[in-house]
Amino acid sequence: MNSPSPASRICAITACWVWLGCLQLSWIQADDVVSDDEEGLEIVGPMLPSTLPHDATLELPEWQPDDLLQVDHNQAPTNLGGGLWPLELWPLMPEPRRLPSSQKAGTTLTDPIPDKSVAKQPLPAGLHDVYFGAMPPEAILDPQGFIDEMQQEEIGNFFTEFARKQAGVDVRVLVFGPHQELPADQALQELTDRWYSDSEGIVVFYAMGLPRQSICCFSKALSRNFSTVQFTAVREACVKEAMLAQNPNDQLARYCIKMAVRMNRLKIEGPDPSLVHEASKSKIYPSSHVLAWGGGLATLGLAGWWALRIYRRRNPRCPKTWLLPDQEMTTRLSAPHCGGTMAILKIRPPETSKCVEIAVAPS
Amino acid sequence: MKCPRCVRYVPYAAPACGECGFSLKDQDDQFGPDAVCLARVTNEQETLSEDEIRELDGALDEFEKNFPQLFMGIYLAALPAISSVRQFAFWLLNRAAIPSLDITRPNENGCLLVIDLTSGQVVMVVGYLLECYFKEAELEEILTRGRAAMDRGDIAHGLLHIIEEFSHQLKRKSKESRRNPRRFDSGGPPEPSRPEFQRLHTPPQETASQTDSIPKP
Repeated sequence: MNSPSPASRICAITACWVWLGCLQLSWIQADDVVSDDEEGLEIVGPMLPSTLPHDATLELPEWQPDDLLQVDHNQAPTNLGGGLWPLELWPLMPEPRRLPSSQKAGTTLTDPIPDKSVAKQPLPAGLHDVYFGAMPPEAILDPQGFIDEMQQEEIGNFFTEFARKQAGVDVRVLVFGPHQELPADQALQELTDRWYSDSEGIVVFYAMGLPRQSICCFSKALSRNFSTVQFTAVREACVKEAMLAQNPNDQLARYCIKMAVRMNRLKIEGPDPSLVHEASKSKIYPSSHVLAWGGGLATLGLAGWWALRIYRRRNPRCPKTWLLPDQEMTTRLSAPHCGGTMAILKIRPPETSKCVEIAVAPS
Repeated sequence: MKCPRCVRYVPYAAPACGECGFSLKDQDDQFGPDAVCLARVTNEQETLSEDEIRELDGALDEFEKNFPQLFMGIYLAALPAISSVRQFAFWLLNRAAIPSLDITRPNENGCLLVIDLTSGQVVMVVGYLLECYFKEAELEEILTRGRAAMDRGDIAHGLLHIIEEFSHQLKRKSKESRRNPRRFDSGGPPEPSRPEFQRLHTPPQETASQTDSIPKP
C-alpha cells in the first residue's frame, strides 16, 4: 500500500481544521439563536488561544477627574462609566437629591419665612402640662403620636450614645404639630433653664414637617462655655440636614441625628476661647478670696502649732517624755550594768592636758 | 557586742571573752572593785569653764526630763597613756555612782561619755537597756556630730551636739518601739539548734531471690 504524499497530508489537515471550526460555530449559533434574533448581538467565533494575550492587555475604563469632582460634590451619582455593565448586574445609581430651589440662590437657613396665611392652632387640651411640666424621662416627647415608638427608641439611643455619653449633653425633643401654637421664646428658655438648672442640656421644640420653625434652647451651663455663633451654627446645620429629606419623619430623624453629632463635635472643638477668658476674669475675685482665707487660716494654724511647740519646750510643767520599753537583760563579761557596747571617736587632743591618776586599785 | 580588750565578738551571756578571757574582774583588779562617785559632768582637768559646765548641766537636765528612765554622764580627763580608754569606759559605767540621780535610773539605763584628753579619744558607752536600741555604728554616727567642734577645741559644744543628736535618735527609737514593740527585743538566749539525725544503718537491699519470690500473676 502506497503512503500518501505530503501535499495530500496538508490538504487533509486543513480540511479537518475547517470542519472543526464549522462544527463549533454551528454549536454556538444553536445556543444563541433566540438571543440573536431578539438582542441583535454580534456573532463571534470561537476564542482561539492566540487571542488571549490580546484580551489581557485591554485597558479598563478609569475615573475622569471631572466625574470624580461631581461625585464628591454630590452632583452626580456614582456610576461606573455611565452604564458600562448590564443593568441587571450593576443598576444605575439614582440622581442625588437637591435642596429646594429657595435655598440655592444665596439664601441662608436663618432667613425667616413668614407664613402668615396659616393660622396657629392651639395645643390639644391637657397636653400643656405634658409638654411644659416636669422633664420627661425619654429623649423624645411625642404625646400626639406623630412618630412611631421604634423611631423614638432609635433617636433616643442615638442621643444617649453621642450626646449624653460622649459629649455629656442631655437632649429633649418635644414634637409638636406643624402649625401648633407655642409659648413665647422667653418662656421656652425659662423651661430649659428649669429643666437643666445646673447641667448641660438642650430642649428642641420641633414642629413636625417644618424644621425651620423648630426652636432650639440651650441651657445656661452650655451658654457659659459656648458662644451664640456656635449655637447658631448648630441650629443651621440641623435644619439644613432635615431639609434634605421630604418625609416629616425622616426630617425629624435627620434633625436629631445632626443635633447629636454636632453636640459631640462642639465638645471636641472645645469652648469659645473668648468666653473662657471672660469666665476666668469673672472668677478672679472668688478664687482670690478663697485663697486669701485659706492662706490666712493655714498661717494661723502654723503659728499656733509653732507657739504650742515652743511653749511645751520651755514650760517645765508640761514636759514631753519619751519612754523605752523595758527589755529582758542578761549580763555578760561579768559586768552588772554594761556589756561593752560602745563607739570611739578620735579627735584632735587639746594642747594643754596633763595626766592625772583617776583610780587607785585596792591593794 | 565586742570585747573591750580584743574587740572580738562576745557571745550572749558569756562570763568572759572567749578569745582573751577579758571580764570586769580584770578591770576591777586595775581600777578597783568599789563604786566610784561621780558628778554628772566630771571635769578633772578643768578644761571646761563654769559656764560650759552649766550649759552642759542644763542639757543633761533636759535630757533626763525627756527620758525619765535614762541618764547621761560626762567624764573628761587626761588618762594615763598606758590605760585603754575602751576598757576604762567599760569599767567606769559599771562602777560609777552618780549621787544626783534617782534610783529609777540604774547604770544599765545610762550612757557615759568619756573624753580622754591624752589620746584625743571620745568613747560613748551605753548600758544594757540602750544597747537593745543602738548598734555601735549608730553610736559612731552620733559621736561624729560633735567632731567638728571638738576638733576646734570646743569640747563643750561638741558634747552639746552629741547630746542633742542622741536625744533625737532616742525619740525616734521610742516612737518606733511604740509602733512595733518587738522590733528592739533583746531576743534572749539563742534557741538551741535542732539536732541533726544521722543514719547509722543503711537499710538492707533487696536480693534477687526476694524479688523472684513474688508470685507472678
